[in-house]
Amino acid sequence: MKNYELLLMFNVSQEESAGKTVDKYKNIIADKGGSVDRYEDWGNMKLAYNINKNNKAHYILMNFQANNEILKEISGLIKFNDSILRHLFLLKNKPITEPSIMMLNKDRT
Amino acid sequence: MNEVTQKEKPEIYNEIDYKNLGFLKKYLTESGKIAPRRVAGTSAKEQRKINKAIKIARHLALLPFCDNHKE
Repeated sequence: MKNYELLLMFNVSQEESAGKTVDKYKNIIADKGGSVDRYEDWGNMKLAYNINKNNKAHYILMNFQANNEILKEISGLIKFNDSILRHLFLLKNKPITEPSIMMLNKDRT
Repeated sequence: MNEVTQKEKPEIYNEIDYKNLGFLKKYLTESGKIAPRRVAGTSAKEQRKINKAIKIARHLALLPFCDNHKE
């Protein structure tokens, strides 16, 4: 088991599918013995530059523990999901549960 | 005597993260380029880590590549 961080950027016009997609990934992690440490919904944010003529995106951040099998399955699904503009997987050396700086700033405003 | 003395990392290393935009913006020039070390005043190690964080943030459209992106 390793600790991963996943950031997903969803197309705002297909937002209904975002919740379903994330739930699906969570189920995959839970079924195969992983666990979700942190889940954050940053909401719709303006992009610094346009991606495929979109100027907004729905950001979702997840930290989870998983093995190689889970990671392969999720990254395969992300590849063929049209509503995801961009995504990022990062390997972390320890599980992270405290809220990220993005979320803390959001609460203040 | 067998105690291993560990150097304490300065706090700046904890702040370097692609999500910490307020911090990373200090190391960009007006036009959105990464400031050189002689301007930013960072050490080589800090600069490497900051560069990586800025490049990740740019990929996720959290920071701009330049100041005249097409609308």
